[in-house]
Amino acid sequence: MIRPAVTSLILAIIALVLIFLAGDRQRKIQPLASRPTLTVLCAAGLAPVMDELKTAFELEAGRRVRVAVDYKGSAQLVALQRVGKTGDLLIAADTHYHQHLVEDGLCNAPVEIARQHPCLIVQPQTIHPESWEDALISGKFRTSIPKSSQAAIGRLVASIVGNNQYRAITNQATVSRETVTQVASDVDQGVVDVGITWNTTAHQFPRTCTLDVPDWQAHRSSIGVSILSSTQDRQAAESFVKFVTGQSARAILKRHGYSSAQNDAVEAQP
Amino acid sequence: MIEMDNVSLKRGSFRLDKLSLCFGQPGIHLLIGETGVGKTSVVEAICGLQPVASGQVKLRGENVTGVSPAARSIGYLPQDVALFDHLSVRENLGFACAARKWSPASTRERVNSLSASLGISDLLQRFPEQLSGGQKHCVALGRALAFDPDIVCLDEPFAALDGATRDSMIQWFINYVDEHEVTVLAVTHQPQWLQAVAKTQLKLDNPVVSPGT
Amino acid sequence: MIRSSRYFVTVMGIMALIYVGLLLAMVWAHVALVSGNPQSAWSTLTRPEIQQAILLSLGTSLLSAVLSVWIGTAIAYLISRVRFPFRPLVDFLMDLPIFLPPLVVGVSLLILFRQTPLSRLDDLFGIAFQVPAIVLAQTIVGVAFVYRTMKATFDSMPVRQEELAQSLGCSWYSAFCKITLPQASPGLVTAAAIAWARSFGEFGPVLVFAGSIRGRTEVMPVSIYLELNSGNLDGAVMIALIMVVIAAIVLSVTRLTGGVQRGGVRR
Repeated sequence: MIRPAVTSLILAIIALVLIFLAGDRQRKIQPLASRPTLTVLCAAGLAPVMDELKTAFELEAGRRVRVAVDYKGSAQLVALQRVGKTGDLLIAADTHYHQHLVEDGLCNAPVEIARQHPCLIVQPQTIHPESWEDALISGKFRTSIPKSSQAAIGRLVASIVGNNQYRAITNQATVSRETVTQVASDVDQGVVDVGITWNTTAHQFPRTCTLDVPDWQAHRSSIGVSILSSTQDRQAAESFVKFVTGQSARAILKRHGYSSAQNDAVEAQP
Repeated sequence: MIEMDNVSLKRGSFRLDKLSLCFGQPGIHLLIGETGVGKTSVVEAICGLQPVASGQVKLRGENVTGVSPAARSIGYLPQDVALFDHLSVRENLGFACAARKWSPASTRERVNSLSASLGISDLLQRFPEQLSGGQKHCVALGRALAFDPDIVCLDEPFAALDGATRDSMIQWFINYVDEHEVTVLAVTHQPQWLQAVAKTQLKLDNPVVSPGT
Repeated sequence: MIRSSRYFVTVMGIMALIYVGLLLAMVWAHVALVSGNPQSAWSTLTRPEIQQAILLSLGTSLLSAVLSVWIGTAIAYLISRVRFPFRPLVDFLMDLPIFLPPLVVGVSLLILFRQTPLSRLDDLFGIAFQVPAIVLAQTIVGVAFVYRTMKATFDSMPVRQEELAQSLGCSWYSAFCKITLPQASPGLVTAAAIAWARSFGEFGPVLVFAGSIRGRTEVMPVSIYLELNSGNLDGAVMIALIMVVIAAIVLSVTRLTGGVQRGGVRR
């Protein structure tokens, strides 16, 4: 016979021990639990580079500051911030996401940290047609397209090719996705032949090929960082902004395929 | 002593109005009547398992109308026997003693002597689902008597038993009642088995069943 | 067996075969993918934040299951045995977390703890975006499932034995403990297993209410989400496989220790 009261008490104690162990493990990774923690709300697509930036920042700050990153889709981050009003910094996939919060006085104007541009991501063995823009609506290829309503890239590409053309591309799509990572993953898994993503997203999937469309390259989307009005430690937040816009951060970003305003200026010179 | 003073009962469409009865002496008292006249409801009202709409229930001369079933100290044998399926025969028999905080030793002793007297000592380790209908009835009777109550209510006792078993159990019960001076209220629609030894006999009829649900 | 009933059994068998086959194929697909790239999958496991996520997942889901069973059973018993005004309304409300999209549960909790006077509680104890938020989000949903299971169990149990126990000398409370709970133990074990499984796999409310903060509120489903977002499919699948293994172990242990399920088997 089971004794419910005793059993549940024992289970609850085991549970608390496990939760404690998990916390303990974390303290071992970052033995600075009592130090100020900066919570960065970050676009999920930026996770690989952000993880690296976070570690580099903590090292540079002499481990005086901890960084916790909350990854979600950019639109979701913005919507939830209106309700949640917590955290110190926001890094969305595109600076126009910040604008909504700037208007509401929930964060300051974003400072650009990197740029990316839309491109096509294809499987290596794909035979290339003459014009990709036509091919995307020909129905000859299976395509994965970001939704223009949810993903920043969708809006940008729609503004380049024209809304009607983009609607045609979306209508012809095998699947339309909320995030570029899902699109890239579709191509990576061989679910589709071609997708539209950022050049930086494609960079994360070494098994795929990146294909630049000439018209698209000039249309850069900028990623920025804002200090949220909910921050408890403006000084630490400012030091983080200074770090991610600085030299060492730029090197990390470049390694992940992100370009910067400075790089663009250099490229533009003959 | 079991008394009911102008008691009215309501349960769904069933109603029983202003019933008064009194069984004073120790011994067996019968409440008889056709199926559906509310015999079970009367017993449940006495045991405190059914609320009374108005009137008073008195036990041992005290008004117990609002008192919990446990505090009424009645040995109750329901019609459907209702043994506790997850408990062994021993635990079933000792249930009331344990609930009344008897010491484990005295509970054990009581269960041993009672089961020996009932002739079910060899069944103590079994579970209700391993018993025959007659054995179940026997265990349920033992369970009702285990804590030595001075008032016992039986709902359709011995009805599920066959000839020889029934006769010997009735005989055992009559002896027990005499020996322990227990006041017994038995409700039944087959009064013939107990009629000979019953002190009083009351016929319940003319129930008020309101129309509709 | 009669011929017509043979068809009956065959049709049921085919349905079972298709569904179970599909489930097995899904697990197999995971294994195939992981075994295709064992190093990358294995390296996922050695990462401290993933190990932490496993511990945190186990801890929070267990705690939530215990809380859910207590709260859900209490409410189920109340609704099943006591008549009071607005009982059907409460019964309906208890289903809310089941049919609401999980994300909505998370958003509601977030609004509740950040936009209403309750936010003072949050400021004081730190609930939102912390471990308590995980447990809260899991428990809210877990209770609803325990409630459904336990209400069905209590409804199917006659009140008779409880009444009888009371008449034999128990208070209502001790009749509940000695008679009702033991007899309901198969249902209780099922309810606990469902609550645990739900909590273990809970994602939507946790993501919204507790955040997906690496090293702080990262439970295994959140890890999968983060790995997918980093394009690390191998890692995500590896974590999913571990979840399957853990769930298999926990659920079979519950089966073995739980009350014997009585049911008729037709030969």
